[in-house]
Parts: sequence; C-alpha cells; structure tokens
Amino acid sequence: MESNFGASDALSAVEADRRKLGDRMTAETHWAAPAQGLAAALLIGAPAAGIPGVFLVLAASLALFIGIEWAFRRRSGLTISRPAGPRGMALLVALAVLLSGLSLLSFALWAFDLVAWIAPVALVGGLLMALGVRTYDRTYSNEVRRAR
Amino acid sequence: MLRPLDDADFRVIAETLDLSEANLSKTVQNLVTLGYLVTSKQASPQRSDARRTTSVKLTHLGRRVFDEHLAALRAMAEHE
Repeated sequence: MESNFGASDALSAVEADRRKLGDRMTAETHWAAPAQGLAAALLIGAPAAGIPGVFLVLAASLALFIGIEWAFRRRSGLTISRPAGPRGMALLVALAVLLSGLSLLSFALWAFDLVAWIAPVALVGGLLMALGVRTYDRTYSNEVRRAR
Repeated sequence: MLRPLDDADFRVIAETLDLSEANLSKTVQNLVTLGYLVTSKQASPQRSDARRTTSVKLTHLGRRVFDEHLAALRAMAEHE
C-alpha cells in the first residue's frame, strides 16, 4: 500500500517534536529568569560590599549562576550551550554586554566614592537580566521549532 | 530533537517524543551503530537508587547527515 506521508508531513513532525522541546525549555523560565536576575544583581552590586565583602558577594553570584545551570539540567534533562538562531545569539550578546557594562559602571561608582548609586544600578541590572532571560527563552523556543 | 542540544537524557527524549523506552532504545542503538549518536551513563541525583541515567548526543556525522536529510525534505516539500 502506498503511503501518503510526504516531505511536508515529515517537516511538520520535526516541528511538532521541536515545539515540545521549546515548551520544555520555557517551562523552567518562571524560576530561572528571576534567579538569574538575582545572580546578575549580586554581580553588579558586589562593589557596594567593600573589601573584603566584594569577594564573598562575587563568589555568591558565581555559585548562583552555576547552581541555576545545574538545576536547569537536572529539572529539564537537557544540556543547551548555544542559541537556536540569530535572534537568540543577538540577545545573548546584548545580555553579556549589559552585564559587563553595568558591572564596570558599578566598579566606577565605587572608585569615585558614589557607593549609594550602586544599589539602584544593581536593581535595574537584575530586572533587565530577568526580563532578558525570559525573552531569550521565548526566542529560543520560537527559533528551535522552525524546521522549514 | 537532539539537533539544537548538546545532549539530552534518554528518559526525557522518550517522554518528549511520546515513545516507549523499549522502542527508543532500539532506535538509539541502531543510530549508535551507524555512528550518528553516542550515549554516556552517569550517576544521577534524580534517582534514589544506584542506577545511572543515560545521556544521548548527536555526533558530528549525525549532525551533518540530519542537516542533509532536512535540506532534502525542504527541497521535496517545495515541489509537493
């Protein structure tokens, strides 16, 4: 008997599988995005802790970033180390630039004895990071499902 | 499903693709034999017993062959 399953059906099947993968990724966003925002806020706000406190806060931020990655792998069963497409890559670069820029700004504020400004900068950075991670996850989910 | 990933747990692949573990195991073994996939076992905090979980990963060859297959499907779909 001849099968009616054609190339378009095969591509649709790939897209359906990829959609499930995207859903599994975004299922972790509700906790991962705020947690990464918190880790970013700690990183940016670290200079406000002075010396030697800055090293403890930086270590806490690093431990939080690593812990989030470990928890994501454990909960989702997936290991992902690269974006699924060009929009995801652009967002990743933008987030890295944002995090580096605000960290440098925060150290500059500390160097110029404007420590009171560090907390608001860290708060804004944390919020932007949380929103950025949420957008990144949605972008990943959209880009990963395109098989055509 | 594996194409955009570094690797995935065997159990998660079965759940996501709605396949029985027995069927997926046979498919994975065939693809490992062809050199398209590699598997690795590791201890897992997800398990309370001593059993280990299996991770499945596409090889470089597997990626290339899958991309060629997808490109061929796209070309065929254009003419359907």
